[in-house]
Amino acid sequence: MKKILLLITILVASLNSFSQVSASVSPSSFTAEDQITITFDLTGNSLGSSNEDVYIWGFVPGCCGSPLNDQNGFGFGNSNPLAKCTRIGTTNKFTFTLTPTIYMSKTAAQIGAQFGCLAKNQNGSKQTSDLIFAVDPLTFTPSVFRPFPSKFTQDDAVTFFMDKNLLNPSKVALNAASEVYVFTDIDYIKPDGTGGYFQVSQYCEPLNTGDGNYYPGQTTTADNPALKAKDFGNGLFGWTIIPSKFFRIGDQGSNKFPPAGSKITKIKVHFRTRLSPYCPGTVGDSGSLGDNFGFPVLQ
Amino acid sequence: MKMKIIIRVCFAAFIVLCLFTTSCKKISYSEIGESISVEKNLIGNWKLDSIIQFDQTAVDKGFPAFVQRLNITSIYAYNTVSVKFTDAGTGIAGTYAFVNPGNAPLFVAPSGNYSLFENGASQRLKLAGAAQTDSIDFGKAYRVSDNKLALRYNRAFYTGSKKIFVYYDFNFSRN
Repeated sequence: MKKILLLITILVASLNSFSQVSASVSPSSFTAEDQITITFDLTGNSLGSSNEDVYIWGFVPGCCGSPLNDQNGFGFGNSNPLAKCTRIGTTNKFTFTLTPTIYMSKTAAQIGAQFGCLAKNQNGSKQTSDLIFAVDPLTFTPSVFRPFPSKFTQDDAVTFFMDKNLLNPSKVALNAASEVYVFTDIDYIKPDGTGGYFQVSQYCEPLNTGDGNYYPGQTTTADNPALKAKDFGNGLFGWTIIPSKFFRIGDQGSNKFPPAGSKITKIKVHFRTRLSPYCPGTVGDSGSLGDNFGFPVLQ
Repeated sequence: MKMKIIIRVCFAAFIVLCLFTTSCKKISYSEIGESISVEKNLIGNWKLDSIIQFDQTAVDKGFPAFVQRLNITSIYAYNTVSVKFTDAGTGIAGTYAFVNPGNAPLFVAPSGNYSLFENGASQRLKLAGAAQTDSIDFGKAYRVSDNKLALRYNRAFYTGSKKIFVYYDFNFSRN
């Protein structure tokens, strides 16, 4: 009989130390990069009662735990003070606010579709069961213009894409064009701290050559292959350059080129049809010019 | 009683038979094969087959593949690029020289000294030219007999900690 009573006591004690609780997350739908607040409702549980502090123990199912769990000598038997939850008033409910990518020190791709956590007391003698929340994937939003990669330096290969499938229908000529060209300009900072502007375009645009524009190797209005975008198929056109080389930083061949040590701060790329609307004698078409867009360049 | 003895004898014989047929059976393992040695594999002439550019941000976010990577092999004259690594005798250092007749962007110094060094658990490659020194990762560890070499050039922020935002995978085959 004594053995049976002891068994029942152990069973009850173990159930009590592994509490079933309800938990909610706000917002209810979130990505790994969103800040969320988790609320543990420990009402009726011994965990958190009698002013006991409650701590979060977070993890990605099948992967790993948060560095907050066990770095710097902390662990399940000795929770990190930074993992301490906030009690709501005098209730036995607790909250913890985190952003999964920061809290887990993982990328959204590494976190995947689930984030898990449990609540526990400081020494780990009491804990809830695992609580698993669904994580929404980050979604890529297609756009008419985008650079690849999204972050780059002036010494990287960068491809500026235009997706004609997403182009404004009013750009009639550009929509119909089988060959797409660009003209481009940059803002830059010279080594002495002053700003500069530099444009590379077709010879014919504009005719005034005293304004800092450069017409690479051109003396006629012939097509400039350096400004021709590559047809990637399915309406996608891309123009690839290494900015520091294309804009001839430090090239002493012309005083129009940015001096050595200049840093590009912004690149603008304008997509257009083969024939410039600004070339004298060519067909002007207000629908041929793509939207302007500028990209900051990492320093 | 007699029946019990017969059963026991049969059972004992069965156990002995099992021991003979299983415990003494030679276990066949697959061959271990050639060990991977990035320093041995590096030495020689390599022809650049492809160069793939990756957007680390898009990789981290799990975006579609076409947003994560771009094959830029045909955009520049990479099909004429080759590189030779010559061991100086130590096995972990020597000289290197790219051949790049089409002036394709390499991001590293075209020639100089190379050395292998440990970075935590992984081995890295230092390329030191006259005006530029870069640390390169091995994109994949190949055996000598694979006749392949994968080098990864990273572009990173250094704001307290290193944060890679672009990388280029150079995929070579032995010349």
